[in-house]
Amino acid sequence: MTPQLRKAHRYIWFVLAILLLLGWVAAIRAIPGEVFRQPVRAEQPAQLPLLIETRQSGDFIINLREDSSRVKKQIEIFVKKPLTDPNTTVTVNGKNGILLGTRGVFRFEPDSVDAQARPLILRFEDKIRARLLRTVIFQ
Amino acid sequence: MSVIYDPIHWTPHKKLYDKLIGAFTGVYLVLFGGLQLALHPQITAETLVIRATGTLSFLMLHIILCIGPLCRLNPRFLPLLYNRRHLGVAMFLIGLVHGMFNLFQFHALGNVDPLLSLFTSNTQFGSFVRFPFQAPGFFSLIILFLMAATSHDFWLKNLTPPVWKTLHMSVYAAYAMLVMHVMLGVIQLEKSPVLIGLTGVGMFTVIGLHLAAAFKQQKTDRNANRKTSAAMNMNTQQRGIPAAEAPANFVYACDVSEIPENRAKMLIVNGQNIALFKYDGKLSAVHNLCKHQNGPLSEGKIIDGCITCPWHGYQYLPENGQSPPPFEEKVCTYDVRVQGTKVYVDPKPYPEGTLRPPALIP
Repeated sequence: MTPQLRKAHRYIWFVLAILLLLGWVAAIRAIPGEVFRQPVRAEQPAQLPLLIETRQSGDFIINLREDSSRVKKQIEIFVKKPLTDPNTTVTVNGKNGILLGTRGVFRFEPDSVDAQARPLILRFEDKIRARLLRTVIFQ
Repeated sequence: MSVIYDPIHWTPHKKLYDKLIGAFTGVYLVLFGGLQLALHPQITAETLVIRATGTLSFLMLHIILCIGPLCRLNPRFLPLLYNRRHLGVAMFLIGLVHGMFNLFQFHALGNVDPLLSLFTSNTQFGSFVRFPFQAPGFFSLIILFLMAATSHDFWLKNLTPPVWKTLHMSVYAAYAMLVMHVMLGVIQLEKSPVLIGLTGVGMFTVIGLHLAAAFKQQKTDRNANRKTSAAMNMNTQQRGIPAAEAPANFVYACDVSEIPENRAKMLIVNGQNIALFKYDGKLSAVHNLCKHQNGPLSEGKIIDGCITCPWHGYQYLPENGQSPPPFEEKVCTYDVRVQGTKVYVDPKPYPEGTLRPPALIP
């Protein structure tokens, strides 16, 4: 190496030593006490027996179900492909939001008052980015 | 050195080197995979590949970065330097597997372009603990790609050694980004300080070796400068040399006994970096920088009558600074005089490849 090149190497490593040391100390200080892990899928409620209506929208299949006494309602959502918006939440008439995860089935009961109301408007939203992704309506 | 074009000029040493790289890679992947499966039985194949290739390429980069300073601190490590570029290319390819698996696993399953997703899925660039750590990894992979793609002597020749060397010094930027890529990723996924600690061990080893080598070299350069300056400033009578014996335009370099047989002494005189070789009862001086990658010829030795660069074995005849035919590399030569046991060098360089009669040691 030329003396100039050696000098350049020396300066580069002085600067790197300082910057990386600072980064390392910052990383040590930032080690979390607890880390957020992807939760194991919560166990879903059992499927209600009666299928009232079904809709398909994009990569979602949405079913409206009832129990045999026709009192309880249930929204059942099949996510067929990984979500392009990982923060997708679903609300029914603006209430009872549920966060969708990866592929699979998600079931929840809408608010008892809203369950009897018509239409049932399901809004798929990315609330973090404040984006309405799709709307599904059960008349 | 190669007369005809070969994609890779294989030698027994290179073959052994590559076999060792392959063996090391295989053993590491098997051991790491076994350990991961034992500790995390639920691990998916994709995650296993990502972890194994990521840690292996990061470890290999550390080894690569340690080779240079180790050679400057102790010439016994020089055999590691001869084929370092193969280690570098292997490291890049393993890092590429890591990067591609990450891209497929985390960014290619949606309907957003994977590269766009890489930079938009997390935009918390202002947060240290939530920083999108994949971005520095991506940019360092781009740098390593450029280095691997231009690692062949074809590019060295066409880009010229200074440009090529500058391009390849960007490995330091890649290293800094990779260290941050690893540390930022770890603090988002782990609460154990072990991985940050291991990264610190690697980082401080690399930095420590580079700084130690830099200080050693700086000391050597200063000593060489001081001695030649003192010799130039001192008049001949002060050195106990009769004025009539001091050749005009020559500067005192050293005593003959200071240069080991078939080795050299490095001088810096009037800005000229000179390698002064002693061999077969003769002394010759050539420019210290090898034409290949500016390697230090003064740290090499005479093999088969030729000055042999310690970095990659390029050779030059000491009398004329020319590589033996059919090779065409040439370095500048200098006049040398010996009076008694005292050696003098004229710091005025002759054009590259100029024959200068060696000084005979009485």
